[in-house]
Amino acid sequence: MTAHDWYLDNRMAFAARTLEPDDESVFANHLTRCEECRSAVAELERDLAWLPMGLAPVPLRPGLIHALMEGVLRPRRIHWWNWAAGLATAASVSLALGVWIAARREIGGLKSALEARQGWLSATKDSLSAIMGAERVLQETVRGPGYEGGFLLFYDQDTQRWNVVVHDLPPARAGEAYQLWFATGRGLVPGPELRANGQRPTFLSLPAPGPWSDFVGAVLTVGPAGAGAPSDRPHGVELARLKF
Amino acid sequence: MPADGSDFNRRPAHGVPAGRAGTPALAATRALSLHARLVARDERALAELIETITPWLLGITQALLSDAAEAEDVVQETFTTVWNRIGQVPTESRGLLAWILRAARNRAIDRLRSRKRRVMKSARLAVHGMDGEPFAAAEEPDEAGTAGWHVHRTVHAALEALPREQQVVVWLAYFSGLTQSQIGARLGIPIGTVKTRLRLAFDKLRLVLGPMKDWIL
Repeated sequence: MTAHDWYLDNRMAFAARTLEPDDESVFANHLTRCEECRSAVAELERDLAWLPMGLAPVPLRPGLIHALMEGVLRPRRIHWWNWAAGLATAASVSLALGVWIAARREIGGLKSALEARQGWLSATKDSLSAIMGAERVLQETVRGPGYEGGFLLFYDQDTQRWNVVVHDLPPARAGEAYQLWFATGRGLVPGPELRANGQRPTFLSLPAPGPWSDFVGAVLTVGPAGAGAPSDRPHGVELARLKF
Repeated sequence: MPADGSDFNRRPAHGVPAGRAGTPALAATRALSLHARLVARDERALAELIETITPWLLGITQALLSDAAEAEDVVQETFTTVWNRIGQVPTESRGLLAWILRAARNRAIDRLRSRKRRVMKSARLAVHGMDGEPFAAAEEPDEAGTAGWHVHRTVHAALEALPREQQVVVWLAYFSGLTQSQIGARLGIPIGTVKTRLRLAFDKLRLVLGPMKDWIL
């Protein structure tokens, strides 16, 4: 059986419209390419053309012929005020829809901003509660060439960690980085680099660099980024120094 | 067209329009003339066409849709298409009315399938069943010359001559708009059996209906 045999078998079914909708589409597509099937189907349709007349005629209700004539010759006209009213309605709906979408966007944006603020506030509250309960809190204003902000250091007894906060500092210039140093009796011990964005405080939580009694303060510097492993000699410019 | 449209409503009391006494109402010469007049945008020709064929169109569309109002919609759409595209309608001797009958049936089937009313239709069929004769003989109107009645008589006789099981599948397929698989499910028979019965039935019908093309539109 060839692929075309399926079409041969179903010519009658297609002409009578008894094929499944999907098969009907496949067959109709085939007809666009197959003259033989197209002619055969046309002949079948012609032969069956009068079959609908096997049913009895339906008596016409009064006025139907006139209504059909009117429908064909004078399809309902739409006056300008009809489409103008429709246009106005459509415009109103569009406007309302636009306002609603804009309002939703605005509300969505405000909601996101509010959530961000609430998160920031919660984090700040946590930090403040730790600061308020801290045994030692040191603060220093940062003043350097192009660098102004704050530098805060406190010890959280609950977690037994040192917390460093820098705020209002602009991002370090290209090729530079902020560097934290712990001041001990043995000299400066390098801490981590700090990243500041100028808008939000930067928090760091660090383990103590050595015995508690040996710890005397901290230093913040800014200098070349990637200058190699920090030594006990701070490089760059010292921005702030905290001492107990 | 007359201003009051009264000519459009001129028909016998029972509603089926009167034919032209003594001549086949759908004779080729008249139909060709009708076609030519329609092409010439003759509104009286349109009125004649509507008056002649609407009862038959309603017969098939109401059978398919089981809804009188929707059937009238389909007939209206069909006539609108004919009037607007008369230039595309076949001009052969049996082209016009056959084309309209087929167009109306196809449109009704499209509606039936697009609106997924088959379930409703099948339910109605299940209620009414096929216990009676699918093609019960219609009572002939008073006027012997009712337009197209002779065609109906011939087609009806051909349908009645089919074996009962073939009558049923033809009724469900052609006049109820069911697909082969739906017919199989409806009757509880394999789809192959449905195909065979339909093929046999249509082959027989073609033998009777085919020759009619020489003298009917």
